[in-house]
Amino acid sequence: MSMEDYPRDMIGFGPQPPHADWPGGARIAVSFVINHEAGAESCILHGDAQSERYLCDLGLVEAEPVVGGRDFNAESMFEYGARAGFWRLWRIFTGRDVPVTVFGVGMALERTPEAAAAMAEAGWEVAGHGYRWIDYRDVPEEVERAHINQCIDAITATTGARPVGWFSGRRSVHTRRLVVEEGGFLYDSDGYSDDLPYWNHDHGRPHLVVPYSRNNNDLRFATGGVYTGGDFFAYLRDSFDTLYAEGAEHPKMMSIGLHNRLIGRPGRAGALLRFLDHVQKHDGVWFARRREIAEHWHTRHPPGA
Amino acid sequence: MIFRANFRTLDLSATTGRSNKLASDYPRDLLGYGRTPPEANWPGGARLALSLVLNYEEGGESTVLHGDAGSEQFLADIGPAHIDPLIGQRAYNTESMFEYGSRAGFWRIHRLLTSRQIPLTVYGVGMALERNPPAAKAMAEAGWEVASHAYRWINYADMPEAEERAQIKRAIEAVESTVGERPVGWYCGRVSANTRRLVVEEGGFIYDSDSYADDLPYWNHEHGRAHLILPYSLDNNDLRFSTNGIFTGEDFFEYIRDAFDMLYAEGGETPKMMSVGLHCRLVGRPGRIAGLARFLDHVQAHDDVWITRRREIAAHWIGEHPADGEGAP
Repeated sequence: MSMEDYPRDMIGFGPQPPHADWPGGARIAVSFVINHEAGAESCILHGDAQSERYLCDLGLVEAEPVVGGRDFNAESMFEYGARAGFWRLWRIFTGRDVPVTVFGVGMALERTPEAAAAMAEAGWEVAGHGYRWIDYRDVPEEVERAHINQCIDAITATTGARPVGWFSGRRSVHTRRLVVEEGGFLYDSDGYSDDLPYWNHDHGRPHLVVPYSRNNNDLRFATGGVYTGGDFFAYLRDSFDTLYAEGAEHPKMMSIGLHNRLIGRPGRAGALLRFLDHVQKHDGVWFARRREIAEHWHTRHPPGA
Repeated sequence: MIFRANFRTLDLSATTGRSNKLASDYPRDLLGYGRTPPEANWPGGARLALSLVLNYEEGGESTVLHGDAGSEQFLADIGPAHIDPLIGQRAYNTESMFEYGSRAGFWRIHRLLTSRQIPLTVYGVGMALERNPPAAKAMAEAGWEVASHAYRWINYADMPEAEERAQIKRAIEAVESTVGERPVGWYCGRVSANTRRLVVEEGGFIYDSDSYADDLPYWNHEHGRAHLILPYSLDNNDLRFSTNGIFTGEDFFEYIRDAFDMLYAEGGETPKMMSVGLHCRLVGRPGRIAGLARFLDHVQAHDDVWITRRREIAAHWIGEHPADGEGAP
C-alpha cells in the first residue's frame, strides 16, 4: 500500500502530541466561535433558485429547500438570529469579557452593519466564512475565488480589519487551495481532524489548520440529537472536562461553534451561561481568539520544527 | 460549466463589484430593534408577557376524506421516519392520532388550563372547529381567544391566490359561527407567497403570527398599511415531540423553563414576550402533559408575569407602540 501520494493524514501527532505551550502555561485553549450568516443564505431574493431551510428551527422533517419561492418561515428564523439572537450573545460575551471569533459571511455582515461595528468594538476577531452561506461544492472555481475576495472586502469594509482566518463550512474541492493562494490567511478551520492545530502541505507552502468542531456545536439543535439546553451544556462540559484533565500533560484546544439563530434563542442561551460559569471556575484556561492560537502556533510550532 | 440549482440565477456581476451594492428594496428586515429594544411597558410593569397557544387542527388536516390527494402524516406520533403523506388512501393510524387530539387531548388541556384560569389563545383551524362544536363552545366559555389558523391545516404554498383568499374568508366565518366572535389574530403556519398580503387586505385582523423573527411584536410595512406581527415560536413548541429531539415531558419542561428564565431575567431591563405552542394530539397525551403542568407551576411561582391572550398583547402594542408614519391604526 503506497502512502506516498495519499493526500490524507491518518497519523497526525500520533501517540505523542507536542506540548502546545500555551501562554501562561494554560492547560487548555478555549475558542468560542459565533457564525454570523443570516441574510447570506440561499434565498430567491438573493438571486438563488431556491430558499434555504438548513440549520434552523424547521427541524429535520422540513429540511429540503423551497425551490423557486421564498420560504417566509425559514427567512424569519434567520432574521431572528440577526435581530435578536446576535445581541443576546453579544451581551453575554461582552458582559464577561470573553473573546470571540466570528465566522462572518460577507453578505450577512453587509446587511447588518451595526452588528459588524459591535464586533469590532468588542475586540472580536472576524474570520471569513464565505461571501455567501451556501454549499460551495459545485460552485465554479473562478466564482469561488471571486467570492473569497469579496468576503475579504466585506469584512474589511464593515469591521475595519481584513480577516486572517477562514472557514467555508460547505467547502469545495478548490477551497483550501484558493485560500492558500490568496496569501493573506494565517489559518483555516475547514478541518475536524485533531485536538491541536496542524500544518497542511497539500498546496505548496505550509498552511496552518486550526480544527473546528461540529459536535461541540449548537447546530445539533437543528440537525438532531439535542433539544434541551441541559443536554448541550452537559456535552460541552464533558468535552471541556476531558480536555482539561488531559491538559495536565498534553494541553489541547477546544472549539465551540455557535449560531445567532440557534443558541441565541431564549430556551438555549442559558446553557451557554452555564458552560461559561463552569469554564470560568477553572484556572489555567486560555480564552483566545483563533488568530491568537494561530499566531502562537506559527511562532512556537513553525512548520518543520 | 456546471451550476448547482442555487447558483443558476446568481448574478455573477455581484461577485466582482464593490461589496455594498445590496438591493435597496430588500423586503426582509435583518436589523429589527437591534442593540436597544424598546421598553415594552407591559401592564402592571410586568417583566414578561407570556402567551400560551393551543393549535386546534384535528379534522382540518389533509385526508382523502376531505377531497385531498393524500392523507397527512405530519406532526403526529408516526414520527419523522414517515412524514410523507399517503397518496390516494386514508392514513388510518394518523387519522386516529389526530382524533385523539380532538376527543381526549383537548379536554385534558382544557381542564388543566381552566382549573388554573390561565388565559389562552387558540389557533383555530376553521374546518376543525366546525367538526367539534362542543370544543369551540368550551373555548368561548373559558374566555379563550380564538385566532384563525386558516380554514384547512395544510401547506398553502402552492394554492392559487383566489382560492386562498376564499379560504381566509371561510376561516373567519367558521370561527365566528362556532365561537361567536370573529378572529382578530391570524396564524397560517405553512404560508404561501400571498398569505400576509391577503391577511392585510382582509382588513379585520389586528395581528398575525406568521413569523419567528423577534422577541417582541413589530410592525411590518410590506403591504401598504402598517401590519402588526406577534412572532411565534417553533422551538418553544410541543411539535418537537413529533419532529425531533424531544421525547420526555421533562425535556419539554426544561426547554421552556430555560426560555422563561432567560426572558424573565432580561425583563429586569428590557421586557420581552414569550410564546409557547401546544397541540391537542401532542402535549395532550398523558405522557407529556405533566411537562406543561410543571411549567405552569414554575411560571406561577414568579411575580410580574403577564399571562395573557395574544389579542391583549396586540392591543397593548397598538396603544403603546403605534406604527410610525401614515397608515398606523
